[in-house]
Amino acid sequence: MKNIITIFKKELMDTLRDKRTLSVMLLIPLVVYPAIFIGISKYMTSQSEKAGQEILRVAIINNGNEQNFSQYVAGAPNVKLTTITDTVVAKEQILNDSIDAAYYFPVGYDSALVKLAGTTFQYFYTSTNNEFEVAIIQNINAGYQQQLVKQKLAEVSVSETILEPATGQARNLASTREQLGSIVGGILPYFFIIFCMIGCMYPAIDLAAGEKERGSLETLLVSSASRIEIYIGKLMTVALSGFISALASIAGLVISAQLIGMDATSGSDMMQVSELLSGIIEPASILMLLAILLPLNIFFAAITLMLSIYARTFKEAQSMITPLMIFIVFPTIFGMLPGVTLDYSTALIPILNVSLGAKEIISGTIQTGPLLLTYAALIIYALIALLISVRFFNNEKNILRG
Amino acid sequence: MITITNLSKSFKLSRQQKKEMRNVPQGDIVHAVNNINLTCMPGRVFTLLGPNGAGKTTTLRLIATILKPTSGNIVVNGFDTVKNGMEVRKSLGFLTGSTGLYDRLTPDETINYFGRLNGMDESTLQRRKKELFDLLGVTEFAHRRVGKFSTGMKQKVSIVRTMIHDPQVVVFDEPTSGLDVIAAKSIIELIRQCKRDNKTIILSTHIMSEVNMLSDDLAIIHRGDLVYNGLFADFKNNMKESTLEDEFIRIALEHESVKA
Repeated sequence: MKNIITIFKKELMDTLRDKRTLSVMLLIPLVVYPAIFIGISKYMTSQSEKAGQEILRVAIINNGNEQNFSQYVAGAPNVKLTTITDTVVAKEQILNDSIDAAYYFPVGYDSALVKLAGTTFQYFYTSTNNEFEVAIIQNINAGYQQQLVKQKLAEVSVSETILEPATGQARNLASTREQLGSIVGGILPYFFIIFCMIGCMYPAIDLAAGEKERGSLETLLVSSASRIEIYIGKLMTVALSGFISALASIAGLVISAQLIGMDATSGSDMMQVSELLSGIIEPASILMLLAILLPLNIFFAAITLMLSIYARTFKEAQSMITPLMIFIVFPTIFGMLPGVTLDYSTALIPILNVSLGAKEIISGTIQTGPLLLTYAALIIYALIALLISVRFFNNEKNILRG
Repeated sequence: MITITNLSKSFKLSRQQKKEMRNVPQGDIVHAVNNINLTCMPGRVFTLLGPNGAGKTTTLRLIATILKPTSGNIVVNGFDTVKNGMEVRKSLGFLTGSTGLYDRLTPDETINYFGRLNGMDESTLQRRKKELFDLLGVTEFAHRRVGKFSTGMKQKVSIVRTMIHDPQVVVFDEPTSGLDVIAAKSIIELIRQCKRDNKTIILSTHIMSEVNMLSDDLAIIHRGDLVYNGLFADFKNNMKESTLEDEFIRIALEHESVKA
């Protein structure tokens, strides 16, 4: 036991002195969330400003009739009206971007409307235009139709309510946290899991393959520490380092919530995100998250350390461990898909259960049964990985390979 | 004291290794060490001489408990390497040509680490560390990180690491390979000092001048077989060739033809 602590202390000091490991382990997870949330917040603010400033240039070719369309359009917000006499010119102008849309009303349009004979008008635009312009066009069309219907109903003295005799009013009881949690909730665990892995990767490579490459492993094996002590000392360092990464990313969340909350220009959407983040930051949620991430870390640490022991060199270890990312990213992304929830079967699939569990902890919808099963499954997987990894370390073939 | 009895060690070749060694027809199993018997006495330098791949390092790793014998046994200072590995390691110092230090630790931290791992009590550790640092001139750079040290400086730290727990048995595995003459000289000095201190010394090398300078007992190992084992003085007196090199090559070739 004394030896394990000696080894753990030394490895931890060694790891914390490595600037590269330190930046991957601490700096990046600390910065990623604030960067993402501030980025999204700024983008949303600027987009909504842009949307307010957007003006749609509309031309009308009316052939002397249009049943008040130009009057309606002139009153619509964010529209500038011009008149053109020819569809050919209109098409040209749309393509060279001097106008955004053109409306064409055929001869006899008005009389057809009066007789309710059914008629059409055409509008020209480019669907590749920016989304704000397309949205304004759709609004104009819908509004104009509505106005025509109203007019017709008034003519026959029928109340408008005939179109919608009853209206359903939505009263959403899901909290903001639940609603947003199901949206952003997927992406947060993704980073937690990735950071646990990244936090384990570098120390694992350095502590086994690196030690082999430097020629110091042999010396360590000749000391009176037993192999299992050496192994556990190293494993603890690797797991702790992954855990520190996860903690740093949680700290990053706290910082994000604070920053968005302080920023007066944040829109109401972002204020809700800030609220969501503050919700996650309550002690119970954090404890549940950490409890789910700890066995995951031991699982990752055992696997990365095992591969690193097998590798001859630092480089070989890197090329063996990096592809693991795919195996981790895949179930994590699967967990982000809608409809996939944590139940008694998904709780048994490693990594996916963390992804789903974390998602539901974040949205505050976690259920005790599946959560407990997740903990149990994770602990068992961690123990299996640990046992295999210990056996691997005890095999002289692997340890002295190279 | 080290007693080696009927020691054999074989490795199973992986498919990759077999491919690499396809010129050597030897099946799946390589006999790295083949039924060897040796005794190393305290106060004497026992030299293990042999070409690369002869089985020297394997033998030393077996002594140091890093590997387990396929058959036979090794007793170091009264302890069996398989049954009492930890006791063996406590009384063992191991020095190789690669200094094997941690770049981000200082000599002081490195020595504390290995001293503690070897079960030393804190006061003895600190006292011996100071003595050895002063003796080898490590004190002036004891608190700087090893990363930027010259090979000579690293070698000194490595020596302190090997000797910190005052081991009764010291294993030197090609200790001067890759070192310049000055650094190599300090290793030779260390071996002589160990001998004066009545420690058991086993040295593997293929540098003839070192063999000549240091050996009391000599064993020549070739392709896993022990082809000579006796007093170095006897070996020199009975040489058929005029130099150590030539005599060594003659014995190796002779054994090669017997094997074939």
